[in-house]
Amino acid sequence: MTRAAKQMIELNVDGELVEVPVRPHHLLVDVIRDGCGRMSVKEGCESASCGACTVLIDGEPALSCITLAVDAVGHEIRTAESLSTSDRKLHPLQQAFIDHHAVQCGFCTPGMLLTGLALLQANPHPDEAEIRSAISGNICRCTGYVRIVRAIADAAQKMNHGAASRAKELAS
Amino acid sequence: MNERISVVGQRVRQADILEKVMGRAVFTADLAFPRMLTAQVVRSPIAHGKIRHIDVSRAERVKGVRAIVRGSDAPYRYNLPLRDQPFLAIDRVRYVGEPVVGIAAEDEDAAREAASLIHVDYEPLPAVFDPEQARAPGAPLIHPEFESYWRDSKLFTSVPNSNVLSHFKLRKGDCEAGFAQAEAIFEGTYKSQAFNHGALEPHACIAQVERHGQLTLWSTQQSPWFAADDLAIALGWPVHRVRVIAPYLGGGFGAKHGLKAEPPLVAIALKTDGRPVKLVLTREEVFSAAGVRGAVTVKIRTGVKRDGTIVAREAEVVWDTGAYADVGPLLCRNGSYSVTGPYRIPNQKIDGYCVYTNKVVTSAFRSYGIMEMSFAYESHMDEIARGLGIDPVEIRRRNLIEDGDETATGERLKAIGLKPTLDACAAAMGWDEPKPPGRGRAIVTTAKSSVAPSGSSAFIQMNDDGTLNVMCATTDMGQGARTVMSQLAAEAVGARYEDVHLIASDTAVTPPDRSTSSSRSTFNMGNAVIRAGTDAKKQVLEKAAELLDAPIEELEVRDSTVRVRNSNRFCTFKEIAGVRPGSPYGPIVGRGSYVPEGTTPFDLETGQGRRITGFWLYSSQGVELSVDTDTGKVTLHNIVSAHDTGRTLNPAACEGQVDGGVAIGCSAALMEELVLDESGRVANAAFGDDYPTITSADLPPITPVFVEIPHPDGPYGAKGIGEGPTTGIAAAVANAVEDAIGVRIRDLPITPEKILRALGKLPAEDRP
Repeated sequence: MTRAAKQMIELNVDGELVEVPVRPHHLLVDVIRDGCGRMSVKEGCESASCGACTVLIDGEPALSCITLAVDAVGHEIRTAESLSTSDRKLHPLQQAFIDHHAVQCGFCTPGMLLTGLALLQANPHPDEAEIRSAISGNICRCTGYVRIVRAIADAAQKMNHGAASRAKELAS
Repeated sequence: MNERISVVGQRVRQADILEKVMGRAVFTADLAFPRMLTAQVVRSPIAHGKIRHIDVSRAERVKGVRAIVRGSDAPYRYNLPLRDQPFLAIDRVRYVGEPVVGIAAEDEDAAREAASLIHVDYEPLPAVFDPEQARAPGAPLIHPEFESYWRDSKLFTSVPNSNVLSHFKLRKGDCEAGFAQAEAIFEGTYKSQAFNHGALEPHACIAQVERHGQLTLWSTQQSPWFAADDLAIALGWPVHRVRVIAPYLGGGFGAKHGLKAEPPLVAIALKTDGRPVKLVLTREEVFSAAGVRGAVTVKIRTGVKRDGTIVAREAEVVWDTGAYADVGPLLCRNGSYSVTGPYRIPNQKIDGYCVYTNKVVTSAFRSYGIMEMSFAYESHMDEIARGLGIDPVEIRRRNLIEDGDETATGERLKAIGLKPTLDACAAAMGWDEPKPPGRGRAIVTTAKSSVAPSGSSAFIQMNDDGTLNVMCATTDMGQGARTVMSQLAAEAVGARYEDVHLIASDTAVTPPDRSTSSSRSTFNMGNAVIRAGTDAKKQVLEKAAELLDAPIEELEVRDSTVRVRNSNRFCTFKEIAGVRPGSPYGPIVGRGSYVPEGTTPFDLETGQGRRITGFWLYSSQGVELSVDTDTGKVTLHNIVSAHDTGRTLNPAACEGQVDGGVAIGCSAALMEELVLDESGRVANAAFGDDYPTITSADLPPITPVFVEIPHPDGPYGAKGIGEGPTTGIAAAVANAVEDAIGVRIRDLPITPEKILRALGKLPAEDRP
């Protein structure tokens, strides 16, 4: 077995351009963690079945454990670390996870937040069944999903309310 | 002490939640150190065999390889209370997945390449996968050198020259006479499957052996002190030479109790010249080589009166512990005596056998054997109720232990909240109302002891800014320990909750604690933290008395401030704190430790002991479901999970424990099962279709209910909660299935296939 030489690629992660050395077989999950320092992207299963490694690629949830790093070149990658710039300006989803105690060990949390965000962007008014269906690819072993579902529903309401009041402001 | 409670009982913000929602919480696999190496472990492909030869010559030539280690390079054995497991296999392998060779290399690609070039020559031996066959006379011995292993013979007895590593005996009353009085006798055999904890974070560990001989481990550990002790004893080192640090833990559920990924990595680290080396298990390794909930078979025979009163019980419980003991002897003991259930049974004879097989090792799992036992005794209870025509809730009411009753192990209990949980559960389920058409319903009741003897200790130090650091080795794996310990510390000292910081588990910093397991932390460590807080508060009062020039009796402490009663004189913790040059005050450091009083070991012949645990967990759980008789699919509609918390210290954290424990219970009841192929390899070692776990789409509403019957020794009266929600669900599901469609499934998981077979819609299983 011979190892292919490493090549430099440029990834757009959370709006930042990062140059990283990779081999062709390297997976995005490893490169985004070790090369780009985004440790919030977790590796739980290596088989596209737990959702812990979810990132958004061009706004769509993608499993970084089955995505080659080289295939992410030229796309916008977003991790949970981009949701807030400081602990004083949390994203409504993050605030809802706090308010509803929707976090236990926290290992699934970044993936859940991103899956939730993608859901709310596609469907701002999801009902409970739609939320449960949207996150059914994200395994959580701690919470029984109860509070995560509640948090996403609450965030949806608050984001819609926020959007509605902004629209009102613009209209007036 | 607690005339005014301000922080305890509140839904305070979780202590670590900001880091977690911002994606900044650091887990073990996220850590990296300068010059860190990457490890790989070559594992046995066969279930049982002798190692003839290990050829590492090609692997040694791979660029970037720094160490290759065999069992003979680190010939140590670990496990408490039976030291049977080598760091890396020595001479013999006993299950598929057992670590055989360890490699450290500059990067993962090099380590993997080297691993692929190692050749191990095995002489296969006959393997035994079935514990019944393994304990039969003449079975191949899995540990021929068993008698040479160190063991704690106060805790269990083994059967010489057999694969039975422990035999637990409980003898109470006169079983023969009991059965002679019985008006009906019921018998049943119930089987629970093997499955994986499924903690989302795979086991990970970084080990570094510094030149002066200090071993430091950063590890996914539920039990840092237990791990440090076990390693130190195995290595023959004083415990101070082993330091275990537990960063954020991505779920445990028992999987991360005791040593799991660590021993092969330590063997490697001993050969890496002081460089740190990191091992992160793959999900496949977690499934096949990091511990499972093992399979158990329970045979029960019960004598009853016509009114449902239980007069005698005999039981035989066979525990498959896999290739090594891990906690097997203790699991066998605690589980086997629990087959009594939470019932008053005057005459009992219980035999528990813990048996070696050539399989992945059985380890601790949330509920510690009680899910398996309650599946048996609560399925059996409904069969008795049905046989006698008594309402299932009523038959439980007639037999439940109450204050002053004696347990199977001879302990007189008080503050038992069982009936209140049963009543609350029945009320929340609407048990007395007609059930919706097509639905099945069931309520079960369980009791679970916590580990004993069981000590915890804590320090609380005041920082110069008046905030408090709580040093305790309890690990937060999602259950909320950091939050609850901070609440207890704040309450005990009189500090603001926001001013309390919990220091993460680190055996060089946080004082000794048995483990974060067995639902014991709130009770044991909680008491230690309160004692440390009371000690710190005493020092605060002494200093404040001096500063405010007032007698201690006139001072009150609240919100990190000391006030003189009926005056406007006060001082803040910040003013009291301080070890700065010029400050007249020394440091405030409170210390506390706690061991439940009077816990005694068991008599090895009778299973009797005066007090075998600090406290019990009491719960009742109800399930409502329907079954599609064409497909066999079970749909859960409603779950009520009622628990005696003693006192609910943090309602949100307790509810979270219930939701999650119920979900794992449902998953175990309906879908999860580890499957071995003929060679003993785990055939479904991956999440997903092969090994389904319950998802958000499968779960019904879960209603947590808490009743509070304060424990006289509990922190503010609290008992444990963590494992309770997992104990009874499988039995409740089985009973509700029978209630819905009239078929009884006595082996888990309750799959559509088994339901269709029981309905006669599929031919009976042809496997033996």
